Amino acid sequence: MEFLGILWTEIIMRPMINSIALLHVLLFDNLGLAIIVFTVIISLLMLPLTIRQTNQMKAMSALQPKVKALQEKYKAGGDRRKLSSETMAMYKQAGVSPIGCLGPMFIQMPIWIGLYQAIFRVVPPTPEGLASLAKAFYFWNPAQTSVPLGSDFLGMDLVGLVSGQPIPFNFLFPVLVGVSMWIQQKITTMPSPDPKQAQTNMMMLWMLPIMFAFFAFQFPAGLALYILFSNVIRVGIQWFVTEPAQRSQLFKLRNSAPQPTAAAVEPARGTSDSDKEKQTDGDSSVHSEDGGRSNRPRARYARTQARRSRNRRR
Amino acid sequence: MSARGAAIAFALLVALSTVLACTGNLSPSGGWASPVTSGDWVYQATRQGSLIRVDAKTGLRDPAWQFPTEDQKFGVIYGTPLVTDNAVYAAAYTCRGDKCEARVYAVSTRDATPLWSERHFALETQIVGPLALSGETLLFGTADIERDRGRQGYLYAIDARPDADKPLSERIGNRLKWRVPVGGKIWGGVTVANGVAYFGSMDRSIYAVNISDQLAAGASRVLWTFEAEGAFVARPVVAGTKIYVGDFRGQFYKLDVEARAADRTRRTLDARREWSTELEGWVWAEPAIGDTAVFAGTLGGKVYALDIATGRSSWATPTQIEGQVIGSPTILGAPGTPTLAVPSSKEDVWLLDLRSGTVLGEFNTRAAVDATPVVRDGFVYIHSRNDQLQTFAISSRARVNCIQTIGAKACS
Repeated sequence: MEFLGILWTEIIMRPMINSIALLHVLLFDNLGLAIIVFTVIISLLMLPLTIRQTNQMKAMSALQPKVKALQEKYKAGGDRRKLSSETMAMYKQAGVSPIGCLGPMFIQMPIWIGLYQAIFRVVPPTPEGLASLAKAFYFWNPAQTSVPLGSDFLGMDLVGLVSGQPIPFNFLFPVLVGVSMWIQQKITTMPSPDPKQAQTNMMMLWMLPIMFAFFAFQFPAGLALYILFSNVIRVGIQWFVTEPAQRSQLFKLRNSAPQPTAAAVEPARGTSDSDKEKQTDGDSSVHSEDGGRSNRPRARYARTQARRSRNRRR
Repeated sequence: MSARGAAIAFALLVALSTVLACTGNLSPSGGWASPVTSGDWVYQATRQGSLIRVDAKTGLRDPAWQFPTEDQKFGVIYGTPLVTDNAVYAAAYTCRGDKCEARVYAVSTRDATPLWSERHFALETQIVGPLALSGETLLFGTADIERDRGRQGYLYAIDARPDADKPLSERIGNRLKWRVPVGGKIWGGVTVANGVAYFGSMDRSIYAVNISDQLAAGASRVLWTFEAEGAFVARPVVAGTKIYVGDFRGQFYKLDVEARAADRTRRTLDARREWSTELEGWVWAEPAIGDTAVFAGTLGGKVYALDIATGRSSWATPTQIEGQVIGSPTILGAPGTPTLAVPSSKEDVWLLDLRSGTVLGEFNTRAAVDATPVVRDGFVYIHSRNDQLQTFAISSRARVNCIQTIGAKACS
């Protein structure tokens, strides 16, 4: 455990503390600006991962009809192991990883936790915190001679909890965190043809923003500022990586997957011609060209099942 | 597990981790207060915020003397209590989230009962440094006050007189005498000399404040300020007409009180009567003043002997100890080699040769020490971070007594 503690301190905490303190000094002794610029830097560093995640999600979405077909194929026999192995083989063949989609989220977590701790360590509220800050600085960091660093930003104390900030920041911050997270979730979640998955997506779309808005009351304002700006930046990145023609679709309500076009399947490396053929028959009627933006996935699912049943009888 | 279940579990995990990580305990932990010897007793403020006392000779705790009682908590204590013949003064504070509440109180040395009718003087702030007493005025520095965010810190002066046993008509209604706002938190203590309070603030200034009760109308309480480049957390030490103090930029200063008073607008050092020396690391501890040298420790673990006349380092290189120096170095009146006892925030109290800085040994406390060691009658009393009050014989460096300050048991 001690080793993990050292790793956490040396890999996450110290670089973060020194970066924020240095930015604080460079940006006119302003902790708010330091956090915003820090957010931009982190987002830029994570840009390749974010783009990869977006592409993976697109590819995953494009593979959904094939997954569906596999599910249908093995539904009767109930051979779940075979279904699982074939699904994974298909993912592997297409060069996508279901876990890969969660990468940036996993990486964000230690950053959030680290940033929370870093804010309190850069502007420590306790005497022992101030004493330990002396050990956290790199010897070359000029910020160490500027301690204590100020924490005011637009009339807020960024070290103070959001709930303790003056009106209207105390309620505006949680609302902005929630709304920005909802928008970010909305435009980054790929539609799914599976009604259960679509329902889960819908639940996640609302649950996470509401939970974070609620928790944001008890976050230090600096952390809320980071989450808000990282959401805004991710929305911007998503806008940037989306093809111009499809940008208008980003904010439309949707639950189910778009029809897999050849272009959409293209990122799936090594997909065989026969696979493509399968993909274009079976479920093509399920996924409309407009991206399948139905809010009634269950009804659609029922229609699909009926159509398949008719096809089988033929 | 289905994809849906995994997604929900993941979302909950994210939320739970974030909440757990972000609602960690940010409360102060205290435990920096040094022991105080008075009469037959050694008084100690515990990490849990209680005042206790032990017999100086036997090391046994007085079970009848404790304030507040176990079921009453005023928060944690950082500053060393102030002990007079009749009273013990202390300040504790506690924080919930970013809201802090501090209480200053006075209790009887006889039976630990409150001496003030209102029991304590409360403020929504942090009080970290030790208190100072001048006549009937109790002085202390604070951080910003919750409902008065315009200022970052205050010097408070309150009426210290006891009134708990007086009739209602003779009780002190408003204990506040006056307060002086400053531009930064005051986490260090206040030193009083010749009717003037000296203290440092995180606004990178040393203040000299007139504490007289009879202040001419329109006169400013602030006599002069000295602006440095680093924040001050250490309590200034006044010796004669000189002030010795270090800052968070690693500068150590010797200031001349009279020169400052004569020209209160002057900001720079006067080379003839004052000096400053650059040290390696922030200075939190107040220095120990010897006959020819000033001994200062830093948070970088360096200990310096500075020539009192010139400020030059007397030792060729400063001595490096393990850990930070938060408690002040103490000069031991030891027979033989003159010795400096330096508490380490890592472990033990280091013993250095006063003349050369050579490490002579240590008082083996088996725990970190953030408090200043206190010397009395050939013994050193040390409050360690593991909640022990340990007594060492200076001559043998052996531990002769030890008691747990929380729970009153003997140390294991």
